[in-house]
This record gives sequence, structure tokens and C-alpha cells, in this order.
Amino acid sequence: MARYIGIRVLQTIPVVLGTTFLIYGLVFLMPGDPIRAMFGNHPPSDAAIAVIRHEFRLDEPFIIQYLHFLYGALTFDFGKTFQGREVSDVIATSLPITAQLSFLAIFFEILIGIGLGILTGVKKGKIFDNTVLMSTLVIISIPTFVLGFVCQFLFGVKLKVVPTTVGVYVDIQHMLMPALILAGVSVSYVIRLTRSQIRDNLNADYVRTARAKGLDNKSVILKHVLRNSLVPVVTYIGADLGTLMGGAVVTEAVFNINGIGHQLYSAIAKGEGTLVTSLVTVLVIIYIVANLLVDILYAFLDPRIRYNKN
Amino acid sequence: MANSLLEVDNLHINFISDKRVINAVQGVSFSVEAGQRVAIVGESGSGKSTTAHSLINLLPGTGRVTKGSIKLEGKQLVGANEKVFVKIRGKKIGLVPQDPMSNLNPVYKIGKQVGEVLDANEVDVDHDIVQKEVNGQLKILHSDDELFLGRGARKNIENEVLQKFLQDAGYNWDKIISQVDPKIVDKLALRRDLVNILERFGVSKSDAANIHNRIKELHVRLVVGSSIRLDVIKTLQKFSLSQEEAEDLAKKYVKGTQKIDRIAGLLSESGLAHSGQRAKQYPHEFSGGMRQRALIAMALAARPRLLIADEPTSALDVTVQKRILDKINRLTSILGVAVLFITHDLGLAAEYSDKIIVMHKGRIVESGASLEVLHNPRHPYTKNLMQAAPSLNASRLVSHSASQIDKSIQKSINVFEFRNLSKEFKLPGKKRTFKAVDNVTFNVPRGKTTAIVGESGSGKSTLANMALGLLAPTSGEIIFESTDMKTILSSKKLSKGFRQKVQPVFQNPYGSLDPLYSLGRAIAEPLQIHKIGDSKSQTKRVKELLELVQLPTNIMNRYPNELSGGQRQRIAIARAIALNSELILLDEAVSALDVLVQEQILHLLNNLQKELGLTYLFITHDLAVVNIVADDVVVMESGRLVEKGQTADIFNNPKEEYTRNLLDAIPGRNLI
Repeated sequence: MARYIGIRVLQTIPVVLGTTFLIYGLVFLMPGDPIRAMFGNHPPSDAAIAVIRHEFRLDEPFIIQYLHFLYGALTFDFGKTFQGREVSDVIATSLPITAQLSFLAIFFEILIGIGLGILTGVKKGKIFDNTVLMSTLVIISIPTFVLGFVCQFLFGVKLKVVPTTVGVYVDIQHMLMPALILAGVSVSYVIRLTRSQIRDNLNADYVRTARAKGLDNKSVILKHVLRNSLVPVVTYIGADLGTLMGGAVVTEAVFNINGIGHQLYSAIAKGEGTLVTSLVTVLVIIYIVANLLVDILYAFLDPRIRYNKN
Repeated sequence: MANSLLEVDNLHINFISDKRVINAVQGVSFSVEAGQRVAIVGESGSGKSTTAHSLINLLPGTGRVTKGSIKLEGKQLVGANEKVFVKIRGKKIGLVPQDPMSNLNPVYKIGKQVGEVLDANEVDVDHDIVQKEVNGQLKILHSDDELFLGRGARKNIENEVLQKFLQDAGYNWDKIISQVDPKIVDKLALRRDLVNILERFGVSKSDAANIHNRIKELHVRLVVGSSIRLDVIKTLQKFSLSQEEAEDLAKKYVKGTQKIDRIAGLLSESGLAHSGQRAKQYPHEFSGGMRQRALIAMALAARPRLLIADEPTSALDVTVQKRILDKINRLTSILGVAVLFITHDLGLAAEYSDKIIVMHKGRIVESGASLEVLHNPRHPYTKNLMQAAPSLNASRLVSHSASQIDKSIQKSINVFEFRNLSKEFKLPGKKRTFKAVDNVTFNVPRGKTTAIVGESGSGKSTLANMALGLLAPTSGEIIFESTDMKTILSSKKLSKGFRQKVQPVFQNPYGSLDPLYSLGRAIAEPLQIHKIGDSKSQTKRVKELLELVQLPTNIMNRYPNELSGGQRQRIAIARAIALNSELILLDEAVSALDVLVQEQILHLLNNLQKELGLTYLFITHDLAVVNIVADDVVVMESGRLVEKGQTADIFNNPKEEYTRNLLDAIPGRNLI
């Protein structure tokens, strides 16, 4: 197991190098001069711009810039934004906000997704089953920003049961609705996945054998059906954690949350190469760690994977 | 009068599919007495498995008992609620399922899955339940002698026996023991370096070796969790202890066991070696035979009164089949468990049961004592089953004459010649190699059927893959129609011709047809790949082929899921002969089919061979089938060629021990 984890960690090195190189290159190739754009309609003298460019190493060749960034990143020095703020500071303030949002969303995925998935999978009640399935279909079909605005309007403005936006109030009460909206689509998929897995496993031969051994229905479901059904669900949720951490741009915009997604969006708009690459590097690492955790959990749940050394 | 163990009366079972009612079982009545072995024989769809599953209320899908009665020990089960069945399952009725590969939960260790039975049925792991026949009725008895041997107890007994052995040989035990490192004293008998230790303290080398061997032998015989006090006493007496000494030791140490030891004991009973370690492994680390043994251990763990064995070996090799069925037989007779054996093979049924019930289309058509039914079948369906059972059949299907083969075209006598063929595989992570095929030489003569027989792991499938050009041999040559395979495969044109001339038909007719292709398209595919004719002539050819394999031509537009296993295999055969192939490689092509369907397919193959002059390379583990279809037989074991010759010679006069074992494994062979 230790060897397996070691190999997986080593595998992340080329992935991080590759993605940072690509992202840095793409930002470098973006049209327009970010320094001039920063000053808008009142550009300073060319000499002043040259000084600023030199300060941010924008006058050096791409590969030197990239290597310099890489060297800095290794020593946890990501440099400064054009406004002079430390990039690490930006990450340090925005990452916990996104993390809180994402983990809350994952919590809903597990609670509602797996919960309803099990209920619809085990119970044969047609009305309940159909209601849940229809609801998931509706949620999957509506774009996040539409659902976000509608809920904002309905629960925030009209009914006044939850705060409309988050802003500086980063707490569970304010995050509740955004997290639910963010989790919405994934919850629907988790319900459907869990339900179909349970239905399949209920008909598996080894489940019949478990019954033939004299186990009662409760033990059969909890011990034999559930664990086998959860393997793909865990994979989905784990991969989703990575996606949520980086992909909450829309939700963060709708609810005015100053998370990673929000920062990334504005950094791209401003053409801030260092900031974009730094943020993406953090996201890549989070994604890789999430996937690693999923793989370890997967190996824990399914022994056939654990011993597959090839 | 005492009740039968199981009494089934006028049982009706229905399935509902698409609002259509299917009467799977219609008025079945039979009984099973305590300790009796009863077999239900029939093809798939006869209702035999449905009947068996209804006894423990595990009917699949929409299956319902609609009428009739099932009485277990006089208690009515029809209409009983789930709670009643939970109590019966495992404890009163055990089930050994059909397919060992899918019937174990892949995520739990074997030991845990056995332990579940003990927990669920609140089995007393200290005591065995010994059932004895009293006045024609089985009674469950309890006495002190039914306490199981535990692991610690075995260790102590062995140490005491070691002491006795040494004293008998004239050595001073106390003197020896005082010199031995106190840390290892109480494990002395179990130590691998026992000989060295004893030698160091003055025991002669020959005495030490002799004593060590006897202790090792004793260790094997004392099965933790499976030997009860009485067994221990008997075993110790065999090792030259007096009855008194043996009883003293057993009374002193055998005081019941722990769950973990009981689990190991159960696995050991079912014939699993090193059961203690095996219990800690997962199902995927077990072979099919080992898994089936684990499932037998589970089925018998709670000492049920009736064991339902639902085609327990149809997924296993013949030799494994024999060992498993022998094991079930021996174990159930020791434990006094009645067996309801479900099978499609009349030969197996006759060999392993006292009474046979023949079912056909949901009804019992015949029943009686096994040998009576076998020797004197009354119903025509039973006679059909008899004829179809390859194990009960003696000779080759109608032999074809060599003149049928078109001699006008000059062709080599042998389609394939294998010369000193070997194939080695690298073992993953290791430097050693594994010889899957080892120096094999034989010919496949044109227009005849050559069978390669062997168990799993004999290398027959590797050989088949090399013959198909899918694997390159490590050394040796394959000559196809006088041309070296290497030459064929290095030339695009030659290899295309080769692919046209050699076609495979595989074992699993469910997996080898694309479910999204209509049957017509599946058969026409090889024609399209080899660009033979336009779409009109291809359609015509497909119709011709369907007629050749005796399927209606209107089946063309249907899909594989609408067909039965036998029909699918016909489609696979049609596809294989579409290109006017020379040789068909039949890789276990009939192994997954029911006897009656199997017989039909074998007849079809035989007819096609006569009409088209085909050559068959027939790969199978089932010698009984070989007897019916093959002209020549090649017997393989662990990659080596054991014996080759004409079928009749091999069957009547096998030269090698291994071949004899394979022949003995054919069920019912000795009963005719």
C-alpha cells in the first residue's frame, strides 16, 4: 500500500510540470499587454512601462519567466500580483472560502445523494421512486446560474429565509444555499448512480447466496449490497471534489463569494500570468490529491484493486 | 408415521413477464427423507432450479408459488413470511449455488463470509451437532465428545505427544526441556528446526528426524475447528498412545474452540488445504474449485438438514467436478444431511443420488430409484436425456467417409502441423518464466476432428491462440497447409487468406455476439471484411448459412438477446463457416450448453463436416464429448502432451495415469 501511494505521488510531478507549463504558455500567448491594460486610458510613459515590465520579468524570454516561476513555486514564493499583493496571500484568503463551499456541497452529495439513492434503490415504492427520479432530471436540466438566481430570488428576496449573497460573511448560514445549488447537479447524478448500483447488486448472485446463508434483509443490504454499490459512487464523489474546488466560478459569481473561482476569473480577465498559473497549480494539486484519495479509498473498498500489482 | 424431511405436494410456480404469465412449475410433488439423496434432472427451463429455489423462498424476479404445499419437517412453508424463511435458510436448508465465480462477495475475505453463517444462525462454535439415526429418524445429540479442537489445544497436545515420543525413545524430557530456550518451550513441537534443537540436546539424528516426521503427521491429522474430542482420541491412538492416555489428553485440552478456528475447520472439512491462511484471502485469490469448496463450507456451516446443490459443478472442470461431488457426498453422509441435487446430466444424477426425478416443462415426467431410471427409462424424454448425455454415450457419431473430401484440388494432408511447439510467459514482477505449452508435437489431419483435452491450466487455450496466430510461439513451428506460420503472418496477403481459412467458435455464446448487431449483420460481417460479393449476394449467402445451421431465415433481422444459448452458438457457427473456411477451432464450444442442446450442436457440427469437408480442432475439458465427436485425441497436462492417438484407442486403452484419471472423472461411466 505504501509503495502504491509512493508511486502515485511521484506520478504527480510530471502532471504538475506539464499543466503549469501549458497554462503559463497559454497566458503568455494571450493577446494584448496586461501592463498597458492595467492603466486603461491613461498610459504612463514607455520608460515607466518598461520598468514595470522588468519588475515582473515580462521583458524576459518565456522559458526564463517560466523557470523563474517554477523556482519560486518550489520555495512557496509565487511572486506578486500586478497590484503588488502577494500571490500566496491571495490563495491563502480565497482557498478556505472555496474549500468551505466545496466541502459543504460534498456533504450534501453524500447525505442527500447516497441517502435518496439507497432509499430509491431498496424500496420498490413506485410513487416515491418516480418523484425522486423526476426531480433529479429537472435539476440536471436547469443550468446552475438559472437555478441560482431563482433560488436567490425566491428564498432570499421573497421568503427571506436565507441570506441572498455571501460577500464577507463566510459561514455555514450564508454558504448553505450556494452549496446546495453547487451540489445540485452532482446530487442528482449520485442519486441515480447509487440507485442503479443498488438495483444491480440486489440481483447479484452473491446477494442471493448471502440470503441463502440465513442473513436477514437488513444485514444483506448493509453488508453485501451497500459496500459493493458504493465503489463507483465514491469514485464519482471524489472526482467531483476536485471539480467543485476549481469549477465553482458560476456559483461564486452568482452569490458573490470571493473564492478561488472568482479570483481565477478576474486574473484571466486581467492577463495576470503568474496569478493564473499559481491558482491553477494549486487546483491541479488539489485535483490530484482528491484523485489519490479516491484511489486509496477505492482500493480499501475493493480488494481486487489492492492486489493488482500490474 | 413420521414425517418426511421435505414434502412437496402439487407445487405450482408462476412468473409474470410483460403481463404474460409463465407457468414454470406445474403440479410437482416429491419428497426427500432425512439423509436421502434426491436428484432433479432436466434441461434449462424445465423448472428444476425454480423448484429448488422456491423451497427457501429465493425465487428470482416475479416468481411466486401460486398453489400447492411445501412441508419441511411437517411445517408448511407456502405462505410463510420472510422471518420464517430467514430462520430456515442456512440452519435447516443450505444452498450450494451454481456458479462459484459470482456467488462469493468479492470485497470480503473468505473467512468472514463463512463466519457470517455462524453468526446469522447463532451456531455454537464450541460444539458440533451430531445427528444419529434412531429408529429410522435422525436425532440431534449433544455430548461432551462433540467439543471442537482449538488451536491452543492442538499445540499443547502436540507438545505432550512430543514428550511421550522422546521418553519412549529413551530420552530424558525434563533434561532436554531445561536446556531449551524458555521462550520456545511451549511451541517446541511446532518448530521447523525441531530436529536441530533435539540434536543439540543429545538426541540422535535419526531419532530426531523420525520424531519430527511423526509430529508433522499428527499436526496434519488434528484439524483445528473440525476434529471433535472423539476424533482426537482416535487419532492419538493411531500414534501409539493408549486409550487411557489419549482420553486423558483429549479431556484435558479439547475444550471447545473459537470462531476463527471453527471457520478454518469448516473450510478444511470441505477439502481446502491450509484453511487457516486461506480464510484470510479474498475470493479473487481462489480458483473456481476452491471457491466452490468455500461455498460448500458455508452451506454446511450451520449443519442444515437438507443441502440444495444447484448444478454445483457445471462451471468446473471434469476432474474438479468429481472431487467436489465426492466431497459433498462424503461430507453429507458423515453429517447425515439430505441432498437435493439439481443437474442436467443424468449420468451425474445416477452416480451421486439414490432417487432421480426427471422434470420437463415444469412437470415431473418420471421418478424412481437412480439405477432403475437409468437402466429402464420409461418416459421418452428420459430416453432423450439418456441419449444426449455424453457421459452415457459410447461411440463416435456417424463416422464420415474420407471420399467426401474434394480431392480434385491439391491440398496438404494435414491442415496444421505443430512441431516442438513451446510458449513461455514471463511471470509479472519475477524473473522466472512459466511454460504454458512445452514441446508439443502433433498434426491436425484434414477433414477430421482432432480434440485437445485437458483441465484448466493445461495449456490448451494457449495452444489454440497460437494456432489462430494470435500468440507467437517461443520456440517450435506451426505449419499451416505446408506453409510456416511465421511466413504467413509476415505477409499481409497470406495472413488474410489464413484468417479466411481458420475460424474460431468460442465457449460463451452470450459474449461472442455483439448485442447491437442484428444476426444477419453478425453473419455477414466476415463477408464484408473480406469483400466477398455485393450486399445482395451477401444476403443470399447469409440465408444459405442460416439454412445450413438449421435456423429459420427470418431470424436475420432479430438480435442476439432474443435467442437461446444453443441458437446463438448456431449463429456463431454460421459466421465461422461463412468464408468457406477449412478449419474451425471450437474452443469449449459446447461446454456452456445443456445436454440436449449440446447434442443438437454436436450433430450439426458432424453434419457440416460431412457436407463441407471441414476440419475441426476441438478444444475441451470434457472427455465425454470427445468420445462422441473426435477422430483423434491429444491429451495435455500442465503444458505437456501426455498422450495422443485415435479416440477409440485412448478410451479403451489409455496408457497414461493422467488419461485414466480424466476418464474416471466422466460421471456415470461405471454405471452402464
